[in-house]
Amino acid sequence: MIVSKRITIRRDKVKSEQLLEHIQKHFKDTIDGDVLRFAIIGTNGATLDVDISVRVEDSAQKAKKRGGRRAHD
Amino acid sequence: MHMTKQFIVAHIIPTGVKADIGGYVGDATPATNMIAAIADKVISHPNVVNGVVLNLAKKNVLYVEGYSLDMFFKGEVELKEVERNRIGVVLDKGIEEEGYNLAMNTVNALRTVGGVEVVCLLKTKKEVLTRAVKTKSHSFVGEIAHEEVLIDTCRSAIKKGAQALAISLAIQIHMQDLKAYFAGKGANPYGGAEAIISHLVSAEFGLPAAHAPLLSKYEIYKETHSGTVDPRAAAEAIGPAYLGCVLRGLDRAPRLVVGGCGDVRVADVDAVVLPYTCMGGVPALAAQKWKIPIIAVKENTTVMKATPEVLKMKNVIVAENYWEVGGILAAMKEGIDPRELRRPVKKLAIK
Repeated sequence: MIVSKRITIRRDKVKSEQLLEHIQKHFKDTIDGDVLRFAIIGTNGATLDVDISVRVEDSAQKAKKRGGRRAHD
Repeated sequence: MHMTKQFIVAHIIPTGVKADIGGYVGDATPATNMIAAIADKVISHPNVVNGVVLNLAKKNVLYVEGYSLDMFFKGEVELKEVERNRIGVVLDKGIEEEGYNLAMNTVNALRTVGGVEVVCLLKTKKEVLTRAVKTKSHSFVGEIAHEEVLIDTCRSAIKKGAQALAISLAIQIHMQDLKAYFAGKGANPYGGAEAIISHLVSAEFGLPAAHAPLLSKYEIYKETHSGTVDPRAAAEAIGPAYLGCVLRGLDRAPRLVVGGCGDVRVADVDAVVLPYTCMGGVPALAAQKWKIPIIAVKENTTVMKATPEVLKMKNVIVAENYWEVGGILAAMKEGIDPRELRRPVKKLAIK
């Protein structure tokens, strides 16, 4: 499934030229799933407010991948 | 053979953020075509030029879906121009006959009038279940419950020869959001979800893709019986045949390639034009990385607050409106520093 949420990311005084890598590293380190789309919507002090849409596996998809069965199957 | 350097501009207006220009249906097309009159090529995306059944973008406007655009700006893919693409159309399951009739008639109109090649028209095995989600800042994003169903159907379309994918899903929205949008008081409620759908398909298959809402009988009625709507949404009110602009755009959409065999690379981009408050997406952030000048258009207001100042960006030229964008781009194309056209002249000092 794909879910959307708002997160905050500390800027850590990163320059604008490195901001894309900084955000992508944050996703890699903290987000469980593939980030399909994101946008910084603004800032709040030293943090960035970011809207993200993430593709995550739900329990049924995980079970299917493992070859398992859901309780009601 | 010596090739003259082409002047290439990207024109980006994010979806679902209530952009004053480009936040409706194809209402950024005149601005895009103005840029295309100056530039040799304009790289843009569906939200900018999709006008329901209309897509009036000039021929030198390259129609690139958002996720692919992000990959292009990251330097992960190049754009290969084509004469045409064979298009597969994928429709959601679960709406009334009227919605499918409208979709089918639109596809056939684009085939018979536009000469577009459609290789298949497939319906998903079950409902994909997509819904629009309104954020705290009144922009719209989207969520999908059964994306694997969409992926499976797209895979079938590719097996049938599709080189580009036109997706049309039912998107659950609140009717008061549609009413506010038609009154010019709210963002396009379909926009954010549409972006997620096309991003998903592009990410999965690496093919040109775009989305058009598949409307229920009730939505068709509401859209065509809304009275005189905001002029920027008028193309919807005269008939919601959304697949038309998508098929026209995908017909010649560039393909994504790697390994130096593309016609356009990110290093070829001379400027990126964006709304002043939308500096927080991949195109603007990548432009900072590659040191591509950004032209930030103030008059194109949105509900976003990611300005060049709050993000401490460099290499940004602020334009009050698209008239100024035209002048700035004309100067850049001629190799003139746009700042030299203004007064006072900045004084230099020997240090």
